[in-house]
Amino acid sequence: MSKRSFRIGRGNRNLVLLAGLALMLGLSGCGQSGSGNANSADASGNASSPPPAATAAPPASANDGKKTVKHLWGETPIESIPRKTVALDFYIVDTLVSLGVQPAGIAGSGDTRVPDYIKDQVGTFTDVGERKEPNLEVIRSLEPDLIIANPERAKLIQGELEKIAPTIALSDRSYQTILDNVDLLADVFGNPDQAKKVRADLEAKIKQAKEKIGTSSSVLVVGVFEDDMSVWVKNSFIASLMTDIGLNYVFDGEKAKTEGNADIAKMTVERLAELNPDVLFLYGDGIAKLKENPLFNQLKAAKENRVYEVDRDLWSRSRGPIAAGLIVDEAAALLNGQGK
Amino acid sequence: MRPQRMITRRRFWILFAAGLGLLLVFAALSLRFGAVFVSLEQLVEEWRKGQGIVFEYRLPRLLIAILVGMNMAVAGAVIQGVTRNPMAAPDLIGLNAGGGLVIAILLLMIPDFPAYTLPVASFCGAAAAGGLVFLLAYRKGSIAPTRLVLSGVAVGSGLQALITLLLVKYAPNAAQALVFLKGSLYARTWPHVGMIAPWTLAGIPLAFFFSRVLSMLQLGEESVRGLGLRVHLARLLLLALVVALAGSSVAVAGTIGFVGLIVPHLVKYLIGPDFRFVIPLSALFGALLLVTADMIGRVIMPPAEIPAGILTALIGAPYFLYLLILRR
Amino acid sequence: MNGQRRSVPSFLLLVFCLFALLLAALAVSLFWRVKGLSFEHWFELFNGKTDSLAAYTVWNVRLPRALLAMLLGAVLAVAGCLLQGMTRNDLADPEVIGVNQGASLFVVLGLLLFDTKDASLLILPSAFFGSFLGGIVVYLLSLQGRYTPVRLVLAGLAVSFFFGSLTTGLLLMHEATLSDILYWMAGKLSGANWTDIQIALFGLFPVVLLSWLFSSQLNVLALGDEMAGGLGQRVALIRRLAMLTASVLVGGAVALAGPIGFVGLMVPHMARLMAGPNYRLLIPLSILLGADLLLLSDLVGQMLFYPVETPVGIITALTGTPFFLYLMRRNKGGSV
Repeated sequence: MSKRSFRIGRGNRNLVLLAGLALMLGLSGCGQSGSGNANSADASGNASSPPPAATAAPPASANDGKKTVKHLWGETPIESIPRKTVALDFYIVDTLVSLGVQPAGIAGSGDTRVPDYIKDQVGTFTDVGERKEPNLEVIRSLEPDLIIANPERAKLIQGELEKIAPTIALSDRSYQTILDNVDLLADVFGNPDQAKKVRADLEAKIKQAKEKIGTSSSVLVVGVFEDDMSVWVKNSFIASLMTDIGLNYVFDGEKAKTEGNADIAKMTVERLAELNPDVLFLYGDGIAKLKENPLFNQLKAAKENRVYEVDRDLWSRSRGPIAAGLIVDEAAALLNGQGK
Repeated sequence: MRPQRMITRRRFWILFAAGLGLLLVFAALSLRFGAVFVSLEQLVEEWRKGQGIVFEYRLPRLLIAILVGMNMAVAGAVIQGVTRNPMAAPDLIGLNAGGGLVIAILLLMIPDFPAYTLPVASFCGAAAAGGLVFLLAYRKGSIAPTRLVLSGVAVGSGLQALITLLLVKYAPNAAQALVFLKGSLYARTWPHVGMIAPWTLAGIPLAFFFSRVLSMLQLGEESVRGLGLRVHLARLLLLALVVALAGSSVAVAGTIGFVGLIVPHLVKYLIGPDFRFVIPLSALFGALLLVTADMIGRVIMPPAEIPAGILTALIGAPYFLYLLILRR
Repeated sequence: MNGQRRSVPSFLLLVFCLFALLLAALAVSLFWRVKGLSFEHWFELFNGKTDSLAAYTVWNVRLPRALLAMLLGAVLAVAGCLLQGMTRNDLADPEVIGVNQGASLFVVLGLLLFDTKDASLLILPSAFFGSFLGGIVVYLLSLQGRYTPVRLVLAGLAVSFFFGSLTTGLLLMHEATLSDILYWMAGKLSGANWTDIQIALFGLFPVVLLSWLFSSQLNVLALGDEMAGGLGQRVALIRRLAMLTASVLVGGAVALAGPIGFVGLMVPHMARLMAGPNYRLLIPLSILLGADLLLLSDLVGQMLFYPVETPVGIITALTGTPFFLYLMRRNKGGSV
């Protein structure tokens, strides 16, 4: 092989390679836009094709069950009262159970599928995996009528979930949202009375707690960890509960933008001293260290012995009507001198 | 030498047949087994109807595993050929980190991005990282292999630091990001197949087409220089091919490591340095590795899944260490 | 290549400047933005009153943190010297070569397998074990100089990638503990307490000083295995001891503050620029430089996005990477 023929061969080959790469780009462009469209079609499929009758929001009779549900991911039509529901987060399980509905499938976290406080109220169910990575095969094999998801965790599989069954996204952002969820799901499952009962029960508990607590005190709920503290902002789930039972939640600040989506803000001992609430509910593993801090011991709550340590799982991670009831009960008990 | 060539050729075909056979077996197993029990009759039934778990989830996932495995292995073979360095791999020179960084940015910093843009963006990230690496390694009209490797390592670790920064800053949502960062085939279905297929279908034959060039590049830097600019151009284009193959894999499956490192090594050990044999066998064995890894990950502790990327690391790294320490 | 011999006075001047820098950085880290500290109250800090917030902050929060930064900086720098001397590769560093990741993997494993409240008892031995494992791999890789610098780096990278993947995989499966550990994985000096200082001072720092005894041996080793052997050095033994020492140092550092990388890469180089390749000078200089570097990095981490802290490991990685690139370009790669 002479060098010259070698060179010519090389030049042609380069052209071929270049052409090949261009072809790949072109082909993939078609592939991308095609599948891109497919994906977006999936994502909005349910939203863009509700049955025409439903847009007028007909007054469905209780037995009919057919309705269009408006939720965080748009509008989803439902054919009938769901018999098999898959719950993809803890607060969803809480809300369902409070309405008397047993989920057929639950996604949890770590070893937990059902949080401790409602363990005895949940019957048998199918484990569908982690809430950040629910197993699509298992969900599909259950053939559910309804999937309820946490939009923050299930965002990337929204399309896939909607292919399996009508999917509703409910948030757990605030206490008010939880109550709205109760109403929405009661409507879906055709037992609005149960919703009223749940609300009434909760309001009764809150009223009871209010009476027990008596005079209004200022309060903060703070998570204490090894080197930082976080405080719940005023319109968070736990803070609004505190407000409802008659306490004055004194943190008015904005939630920290760097903390992802949790409704918390950074807190320091100095700031705590400035706010100086009457009552402090603390959780976390850094409490012992905090108590060594001299400034902490100068806080009003510390001096008057009104610092209460509570369970992180219940106070920080659980949301839902049943959890709310338990938190309210515990707060009232603690503030009244009973309990821990 | 004639007899040697015939031996090699025969060996190639034996290996090819064996690899293909194994692949078919594992593919079938991968369709059959998973978190949900599927009997053989069900399997056949679903195949005919075009519906059901196997068709909707396992089949596309199997295809993606094959395509990604092929892409990564061939990308590895090409880059090892171009850099003349048996330790080079697409994941070690920053491509994975580039795609990963974009994934992290989108998932953690931008609250409402449309989900289907993730693969496209991640591909661009990988390509950009690759471009940066090439740029840093470019000097006097060519890219010396050693510089390429080192700048890849540096860029890769820098980008990795940025990813860690984001994960720490946005800790509450980090788990979500990690699921997609730690290469896995979770929730990859037919749309994803469409995303990667064109790149594989065009890229791998192209790589094979260039096997002679690759073999030539092994001659050493002076000889390569002597062959003139065209070869430099070929080298650049081959590197672009690596970015294309690896980038499309990262776009679809996140950062799956060790496939591009181990498979070409193993293949070269079995069949020698001729790229006409190395490339097809790498593709085959890469696919086999990933199909196996994904299947094991799905079957071990249902309904949870172990990401395929972890399993390739688990399988690949000890073998790699063995290579490094005991042989050679 | 910088082969000039420094005269004694200029070397001493250098040491003096670095020391002054250290004291200045220390002062800043102690007194910067301490709530409740003003000129009138400044002297109160020193007369034993410990119940003011300022006193608490300075003596119980800032001081341990600054001291830990200095001590660990020295530890990591010397570990880097040992690794670089042992592998004859100036791109070696606990992070690049996988020792850091080995330690973190075993810490995570330990924490997940043994669910104890008192984590500190568990972290130390796990970290040692992990870094030891990583060190063994490095040792095996550096045997007989089979690997050119580039290949060693790549091999080390594959090792670190392997350990890192396993760690991430483990973390993924235990979501609840994730955010706590993530902070640690980026190198965490906050929350330092006096126990940590005791461990660092009485456990690790003596090892650092001990390393200085290695310096003449490392000088000989730098000549090449055959040469060193010919000069009577027990090459294998020295290598093993160096690896052992480096593992202890890195394991201790990881146990106390999580994996912090690139200090062991940057400091020996800077020291070499200033004082030449003689390890007898390099190691003491690295101690000082390392303390400076980590303390300053931690300060930057606290100040950059105030009040949000950036973990120190990220600062060192972000400064170390361009440094690594620069080194690589300067080296012109060497042989493949």
